[in-house]
Amino acid sequence: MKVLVVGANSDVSRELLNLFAAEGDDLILLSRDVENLKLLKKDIETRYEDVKVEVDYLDVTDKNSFNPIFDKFKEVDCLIYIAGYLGDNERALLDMEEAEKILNTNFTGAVLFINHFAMEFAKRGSGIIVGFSSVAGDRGKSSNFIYGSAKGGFSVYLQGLRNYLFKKGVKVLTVKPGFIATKMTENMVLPKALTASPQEVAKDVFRAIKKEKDIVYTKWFWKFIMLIIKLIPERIFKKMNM
Amino acid sequence: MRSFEEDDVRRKISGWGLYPEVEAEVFMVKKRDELMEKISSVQNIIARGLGRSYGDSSLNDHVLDFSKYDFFLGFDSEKGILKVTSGVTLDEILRFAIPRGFFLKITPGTKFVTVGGAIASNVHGKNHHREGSFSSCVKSFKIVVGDGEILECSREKNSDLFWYTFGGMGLTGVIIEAEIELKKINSVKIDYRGIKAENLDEVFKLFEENANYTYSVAWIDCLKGGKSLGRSILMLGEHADDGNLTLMDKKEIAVPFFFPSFVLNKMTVKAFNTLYYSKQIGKYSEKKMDFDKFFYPLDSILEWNKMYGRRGFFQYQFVLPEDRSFDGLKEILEEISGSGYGSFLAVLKLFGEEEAPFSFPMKGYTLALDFPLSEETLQLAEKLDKIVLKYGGRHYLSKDSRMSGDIFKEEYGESMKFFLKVKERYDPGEKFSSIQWRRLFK
Repeated sequence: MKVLVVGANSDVSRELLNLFAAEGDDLILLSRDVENLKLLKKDIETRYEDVKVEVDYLDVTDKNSFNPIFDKFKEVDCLIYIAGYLGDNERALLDMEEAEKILNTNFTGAVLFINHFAMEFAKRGSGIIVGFSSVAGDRGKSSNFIYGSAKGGFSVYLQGLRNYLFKKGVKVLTVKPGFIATKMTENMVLPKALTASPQEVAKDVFRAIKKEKDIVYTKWFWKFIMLIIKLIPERIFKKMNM
Repeated sequence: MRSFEEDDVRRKISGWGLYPEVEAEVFMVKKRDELMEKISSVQNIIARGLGRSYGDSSLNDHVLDFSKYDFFLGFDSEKGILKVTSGVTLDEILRFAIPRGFFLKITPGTKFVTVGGAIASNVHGKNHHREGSFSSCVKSFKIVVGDGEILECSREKNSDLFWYTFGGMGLTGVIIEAEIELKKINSVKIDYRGIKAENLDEVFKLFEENANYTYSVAWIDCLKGGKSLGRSILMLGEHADDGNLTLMDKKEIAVPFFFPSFVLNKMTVKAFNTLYYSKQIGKYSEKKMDFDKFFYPLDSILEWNKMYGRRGFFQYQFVLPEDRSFDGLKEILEEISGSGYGSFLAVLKLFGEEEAPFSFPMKGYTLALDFPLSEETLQLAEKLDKIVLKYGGRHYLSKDSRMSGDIFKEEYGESMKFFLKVKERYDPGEKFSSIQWRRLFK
């Protein structure tokens, strides 16, 4: 299988790449930081001698950088869109650049990029599309609703795409992570029980791909947390500090 | 997706002994250009790997955390030479190497250390008497020095910096890449032989008689005095040759919380030591052992440092010159067993010659002890310091958190002066330092 990853430099992405490489899948890594991708390529090709890794430049907020990629990589079996930008909600309210970056990275760029491969996959009658959305897209909250609305839009897009491609033999997986821990958060006030490590997230996603799931929450119980959060009536929710 | 990562965070950190604990700016190293920028913009920097040195070696105002700078850069399977960035751990290397029929040439008693840390501490293992310390498996490394230049070092190139970086505790610069040589093996198993020694005299004899074994180390019961002073079990090992290179997935358990300080007291330590000695029934014991169990018995219990409670502990490791080892160790063991503050785990080993000029090992016997931190144990350690000094021995900086600068300077004498000259040459502005540096070298 050939796997193309958009936003390949993140912690979660690296864990996921190792899981694919261990199965002998070839990889295409895309990001703005090609230098780091080259390091990643060396790392994967040293650890897994039989895996071929290609790297290239892609800026998801600049659709002019898309066409060379579409022309260059024709044979893709699995597309993973993991690029994301949290940004600063307060700043985004005042600064159009910041708001645009959040919307473009998490939604507009994602839709424009995925559309191309969705149509290719549909023509061929096979393929898997994995989109990293977020639990933040399940309900608008005062603390991060610019990001949340982009992710919410992305979730709806993936949902529609899944239904659209279902009869054409193409699978679409929506990933909704909750808190993800990194080493730097160990002294922060993140609720430990709710927080997943990049490795756990990658494992959950990898399993969901293999099992051809539609939606995966990671950690799994976020599904129920979000169910409850969605059930809170708006007149109460708006008074809560979330 | 929400990720709470920040690049530079003020937080409390400590070494493996949990003492001392300090607040530091911790910078997560991910990319080389960001690292170079960081190094050029701040003073008082120290690189840190997994924080497995026990004391204050990896503590400073600015700490460069290399635990995520872990990339494999290439492997020459003919020569067994592996190129990695300095944050790669020995654990990752073993997972890579063993299925390919290779093993670390030198490994300390934990695999949870980075290559950069292993070089800076010049770690040693159970085969020091045969194969030397970590320096013996390092072909070359790249290091960022005080003016921000990246220098490649080997036995041929920048050799002064190469040699004094081993045991240099990160004070000569920031190691970013290394080439290390692996050794060929033909099994994940170790052919183990255990021999009981009734006292110090006997364990010394056994070490000398068995010097041709690749791996040797002794566990010693330091609470026994009198005729049984130094009773111990000598553990010997060779790589087996059964062709089985399959790694088993092992479950690790973690110490779930800080044990209250009364858990490890004189009584329980004594009981543990007696049990441990009696576990092997006969004089000799032979078996095939998994490499993990032989080399890394404590790694299967994650965060075992919490056993000593919240106050933490310190490890006391020293070496004495071979000809004075027996008398010195006898005096030290008598002092310890007399005090009653026995160490939970005490490890004795005979070192061979050491090639690196500013490193801990020297030909002679080394003893490593753990003590829970308290006024009494710190006083005991100071008494022991004087005995170590009297017999011409020295302490291991990677374990130390408490020694005085005067003791250190006397112990390391000339070699410290040479070290300071090399440091002056490559880091004249003292960009790289640590709390240990200020405590011992100043």
